Amino acid sequence: MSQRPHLSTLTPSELRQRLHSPDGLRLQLGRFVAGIRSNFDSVADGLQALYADYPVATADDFCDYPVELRSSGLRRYVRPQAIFRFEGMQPFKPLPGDQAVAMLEWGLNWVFTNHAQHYLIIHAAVLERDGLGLIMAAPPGSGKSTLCAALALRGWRLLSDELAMIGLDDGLLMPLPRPVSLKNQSIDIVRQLPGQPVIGPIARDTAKGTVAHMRAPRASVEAALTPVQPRWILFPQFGAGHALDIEAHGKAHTFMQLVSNSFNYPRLGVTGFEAMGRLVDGCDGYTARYGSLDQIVPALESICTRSA
Amino acid sequence: MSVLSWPDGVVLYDARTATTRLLAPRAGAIVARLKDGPADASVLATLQPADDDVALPELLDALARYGIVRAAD
Repeated sequence: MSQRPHLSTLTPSELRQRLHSPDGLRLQLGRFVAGIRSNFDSVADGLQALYADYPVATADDFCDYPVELRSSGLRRYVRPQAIFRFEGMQPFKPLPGDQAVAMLEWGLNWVFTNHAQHYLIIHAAVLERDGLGLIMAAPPGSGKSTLCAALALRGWRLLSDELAMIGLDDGLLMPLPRPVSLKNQSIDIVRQLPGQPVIGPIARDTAKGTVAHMRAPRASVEAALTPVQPRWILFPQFGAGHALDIEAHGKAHTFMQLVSNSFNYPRLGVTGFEAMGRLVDGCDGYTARYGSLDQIVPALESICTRSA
Repeated sequence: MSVLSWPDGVVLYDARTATTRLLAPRAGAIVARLKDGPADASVLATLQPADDDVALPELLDALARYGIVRAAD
């Protein structure tokens, strides 16, 4: 993977040319290759901002997931709309063209969660510290992505902001480092953190409010083929003014809470049950309520050092 | 029926209905015992903590309503 040129080596016109070509821009995302086609200049700009460090695969490489994001007809010129397609399917309604970059990210999430069925997939941020994995599972609005960004900027390896992908055969966490999705106030909070975060284009008035993405750290992208042994499971809940409260979480309850955060557990049947059981057995579980990053980050660094 | 037991409870997977349930430790212990074969009430009662305030017949009825156990013919 390291022998492949990074996206940053393409000139803006080369990048646009590839996005317009029938094969699309073939981008290595973890173990997968996505073929991205788009006629939006904003998508080219967004990819340059957020995916500069990602290897570009060649047209000879097998493309796992061909995706397309384009406007068509007169709508290209008058209030353009972005349409996401994957293998002929159009899973979402069109969105305003200025949300194209965010839509690409959401579309890729949809593709992975619905088609990478040789993994147990949980809605969670995943990071690695000293060779062991922390899974932070939580519904939207819990502060998961902000916390994930803060830890990644402090040197934790980012495996994913959205998808914990657990191998059904080996139980290891498969990295899929992609930009960290930030919403509303969290955009400015992360922008002000140390660690020189790179924030991509901002999409306003989306269904989730104002949305932007933070570029994944280069070291995380470079280590994207190295799986990680899961060790800790955290259910974070941010609340303004909350005092820090971290408690151990029993394994049976951890299991059930992960099930409720899983994308494909029901589809996997008993295989998913067994994979979830092995995951929970091998990890310490915690719940955490917190009111600021200054509280939770040192606490996590202590837990994830002490019990390793 | 697949069962995983931990101190805070038992997780049960029923492949017939693709249902996952969390049971209290005692209910889980009874299900785990019955998974090995039929047992009468006196055997199951030994799995009941002395301070448990739910009567065994009541507990078995509840498990039967969910289709987890059934009375022997």
